[in-house]
Amino acid sequence: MTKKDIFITSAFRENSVWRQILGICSSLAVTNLMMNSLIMGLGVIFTLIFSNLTISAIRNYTPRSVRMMVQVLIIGAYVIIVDIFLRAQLPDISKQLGPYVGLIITNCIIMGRAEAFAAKNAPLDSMIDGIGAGIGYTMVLLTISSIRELFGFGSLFGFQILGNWWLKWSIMVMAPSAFFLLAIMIWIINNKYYKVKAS
Amino acid sequence: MSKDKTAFQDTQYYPVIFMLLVTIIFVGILSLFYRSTEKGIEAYKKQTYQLQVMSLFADTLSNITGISKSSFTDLKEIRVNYPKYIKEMELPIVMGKTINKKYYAASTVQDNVIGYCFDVTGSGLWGTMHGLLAVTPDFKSIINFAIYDQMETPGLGARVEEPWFKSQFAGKPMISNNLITRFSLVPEEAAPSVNQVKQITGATITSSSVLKIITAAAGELNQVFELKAQ
Repeated sequence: MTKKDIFITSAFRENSVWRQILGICSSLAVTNLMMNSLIMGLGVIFTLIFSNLTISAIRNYTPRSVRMMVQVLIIGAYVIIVDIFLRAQLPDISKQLGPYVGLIITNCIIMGRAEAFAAKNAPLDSMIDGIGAGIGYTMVLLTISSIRELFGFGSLFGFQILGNWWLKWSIMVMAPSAFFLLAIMIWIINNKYYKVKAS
Repeated sequence: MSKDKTAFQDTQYYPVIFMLLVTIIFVGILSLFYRSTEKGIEAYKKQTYQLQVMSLFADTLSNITGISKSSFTDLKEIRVNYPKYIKEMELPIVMGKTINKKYYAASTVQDNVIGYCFDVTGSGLWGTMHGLLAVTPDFKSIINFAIYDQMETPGLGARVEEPWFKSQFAGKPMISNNLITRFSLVPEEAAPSVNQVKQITGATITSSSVLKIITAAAGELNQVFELKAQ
């Protein structure tokens, strides 16, 4: 597989959210504002790149029996770095994201990519796979949050788009809307892309 | 695993040593990173706390000084305005024990004290709640109240930090006729009287804990006030 293929596969063809249904918890929780989604996405991209790179770099020395412990430790360390960075540099966003930054550790996408790709492939390929998976995840987050923020607050990235005449949909601010939107998104992609491809 | 494993990699000690090494390396990296950002995090914590203290007096300070309210609620202006209007003080020792370690006196430029602010704590449903209670100089009524740190249920008890809940304490009597006001709770939709407070729906324990915190603080302050009056 070429590097371009690795990227396209992990970002689109085998997207973690709409194809593998991983990382759903945070896709539902932090998608009420686009800024939160973007920061969360960047956090996951950072963690994926560096955890994939490190896990891949030491894969030939890692004993099978402690493989998963090592992976969790490495992922945990990078997530804590993201958390500390946000608290020091972007404290307001850190407060809004609350426990979800720490929960990147349990985001199935990261462990999934570590096990499925980084543990078997070269460091550079693993890094590209991490970038792809992270961008794929961020794309989903931003798509859902753009709809939620626009209808729920009348704004995008905090900039008011719809005027005062717009009646804000409070359902879009609450968690259930993320369930509907994610389900609709998965349904459309499955029908328009995977079914067409299969036939 | 690589196919050309060394003999050492086959021993039972290898996984233990490997795990230990990886742990030491990553904990080391984390400690270094934390140490380098620690000061910034602490400074931000201190500033947000000062902002909380100052915003309790924002309305009163704005009325007296004529400066816009946002100057007292903006994090960027804290460095200038906090030392100008707020003084950190120690409470006098009453009957051999210090009642509260620290308190804050808000005053205008003419040294005219407009109120005192006390750091108050009490237990909530899941853990300790920390709040700030601002009172008039005669300790008789509440200027403002806010919870700034809590571990209550998100979406339920954690709503104690919402403006509608905090703002309803503003102007309520704390001590009248030498008696501490006993607040009671009314449902969220109801219209409360002077001695009533709207509770958070689904978080009765948290709401009553807030009342307990205020009553306990009022008791302590009443003691100080009585001694001061003697």
